[in-house]
Amino acid sequence: VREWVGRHQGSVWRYLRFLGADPDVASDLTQDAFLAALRAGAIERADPSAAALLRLSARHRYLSLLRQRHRRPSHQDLDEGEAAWQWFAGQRGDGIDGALDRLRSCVATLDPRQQHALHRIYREGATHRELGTDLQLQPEGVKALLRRIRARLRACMERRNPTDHDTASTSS
Amino acid sequence: MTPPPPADRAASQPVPDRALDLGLREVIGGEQPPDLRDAVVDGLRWDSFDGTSDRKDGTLPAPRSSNRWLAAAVVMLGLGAVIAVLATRGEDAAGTNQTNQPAPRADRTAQDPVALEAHDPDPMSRALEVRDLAHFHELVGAIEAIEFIPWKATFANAVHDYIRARPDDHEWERDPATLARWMRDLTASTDRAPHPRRLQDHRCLARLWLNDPGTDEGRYVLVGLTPDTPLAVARYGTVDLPTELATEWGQKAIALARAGRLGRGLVYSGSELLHLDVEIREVTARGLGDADMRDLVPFRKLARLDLSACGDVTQEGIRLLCDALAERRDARNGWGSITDLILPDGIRLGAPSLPRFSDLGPLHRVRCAGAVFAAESVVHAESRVFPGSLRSLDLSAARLTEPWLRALLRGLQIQELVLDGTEGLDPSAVLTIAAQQKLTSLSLRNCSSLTGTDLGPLAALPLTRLDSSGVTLTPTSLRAVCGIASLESLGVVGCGLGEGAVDELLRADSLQELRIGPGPADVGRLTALRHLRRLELHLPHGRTAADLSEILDAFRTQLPRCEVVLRSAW
Repeated sequence: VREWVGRHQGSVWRYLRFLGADPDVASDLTQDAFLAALRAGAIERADPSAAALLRLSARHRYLSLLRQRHRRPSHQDLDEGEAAWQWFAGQRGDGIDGALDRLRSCVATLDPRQQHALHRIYREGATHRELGTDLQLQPEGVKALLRRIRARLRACMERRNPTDHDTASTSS
Repeated sequence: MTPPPPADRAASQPVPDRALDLGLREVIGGEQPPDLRDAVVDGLRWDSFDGTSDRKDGTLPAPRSSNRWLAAAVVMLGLGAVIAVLATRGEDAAGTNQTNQPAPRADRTAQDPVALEAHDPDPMSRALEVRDLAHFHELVGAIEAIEFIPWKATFANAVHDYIRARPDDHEWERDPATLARWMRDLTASTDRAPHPRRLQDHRCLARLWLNDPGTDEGRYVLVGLTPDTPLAVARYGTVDLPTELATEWGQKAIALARAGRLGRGLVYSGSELLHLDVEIREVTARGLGDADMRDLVPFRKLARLDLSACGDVTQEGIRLLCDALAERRDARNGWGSITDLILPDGIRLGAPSLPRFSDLGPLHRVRCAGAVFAAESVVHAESRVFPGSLRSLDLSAARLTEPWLRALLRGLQIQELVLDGTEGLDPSAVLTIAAQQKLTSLSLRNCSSLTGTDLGPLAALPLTRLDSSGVTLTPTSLRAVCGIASLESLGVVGCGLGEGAVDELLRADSLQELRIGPGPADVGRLTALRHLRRLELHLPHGRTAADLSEILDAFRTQLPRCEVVLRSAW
């Protein structure tokens, strides 16, 4: 069981994060989803089938939680979360771990200034204003910088090989 | 620890951006999925005897969801002695409770104190089964403190690990300060108390005082309480106590918190104010409006009022409160003694008339974050806005002009002033600040309107803390600042320091804490600041810790007691 849980837990937790759950809630619901799936004998299933069942269970539990908390679940939000998951983890069939590896490679292709901006925001929690001060940019400049970074990462993620610098389609 | 970007933002982003955002939180931000293997395996184990089949009488009010609680509700510590309690009175009651108890773990028999004691490796531990709730209540002298923790699957493990990692002495049994610190550590991830209606989603971590039976002594214990699951106290393991007991104590804890008997109250609407104890000393409110302000008047011992999240409270509401308190004080001497006031974030102060803040009480600290100060004309030339007792004023992100600042500070001798990110000040504000002759702490972070302003007048102040990060300092200003003999903490991050800056900084011999960067290049010379205890270096773009190895070595060898913190390394 431990090995099976270890194999799937990251994927379920991240899926819940994509749906909009905060990290603590995602942890709780992931555990619940595993318990339910184990009771249902999901451990006997093939991995892809078990993963799908776990995600389905996790999604239902997240919806229930939102209802319990008197928050009207927005299906549009959930659908967007689902679409984001598919875009990110379903592009190449290499799963969430493969997607994260590709994203790492893509980040490495950014120029140092762009990497610095991402680091300040995601690692250090800097606001746009602080980033602007840091890079001596106006707010519009910060927004433009982040827009360019996202566009590059999107294009890179959609390319077959992240280290390929050729211009690629940026369709989403 | 740095906060991640707000989660709610994700919902409004286009699909790829939302995906990238979450991916970057992990790739760069370090967010990682937790390891839930132990929790799931534990949950399965509990599943095997949570026992709907054993409870044919249906006495255990355990819907499926609460079994999960049960599983994780193995809380924590108790110290020197597993808690627990007496097994004495009433076989009938015992029988009843036993039917309410969850089945014990296979390797531990909570119903059998002898078995438990044998299992526990600590000879100090004693375990007595709770069979008589009334008797247990006699043992508990007081609930001294309660913290609320959002329910987490890994909560029990976290608490257990935390306690086991502590030094194995038993002094904390009688040391509320240590316990208070532990509770703060354990609840550090909780930034606020939960909404009362959502308390069911939370555990309580409570500090209780237990009387030792037959003596005048007692001990503190930390216990986990939930409103609908067994209470469990353990030192090396878990002792499961009856659901009924946990339910009652969980509800009691919540009732106490709601009633504000712990000295603090959190309300989310005006109607909830009615449930607070009139003796309450602190109120943190969310979502109140002007009409609710009069309902604060009955709290005659109120010392701290936090309205920061009450966006509907306007200047008019504050004025109503001031007037009502003044009226009550006239009738009953001593009514109203607020010392700490946090005004609603972004409140607009000005026309038509300002509240008489002095009616609130002997204010010591006031925070007006994001306030907009308009219509200077409403401030009369001789009138004082705040009472003369004020010692600390926080105007972070406020929009105000120098005449307003002058008016706010008129007649005061404040010791702490925060002007982080304010807008609208001009260079003459420095002279206004310098007139506060008792000012010891000043923060001007990102106060961009003061960029390049001569800070020389501040040199005459007895400042011990100054943070001008984000404000470009001229060489003259830096020289003046470094000449302040009492300065112990200085922040000059992003101040555009150039050559010669280190020479000036070396003049500030009393410095104990310095935040600096990016540059200058010769920061290694700062080892000459013999009193320095903490240096926070903000690295230039593209530099890493490896580039600073010489500097770090210099500090390690020449100033070993100084903690060096690197920021922005990529």
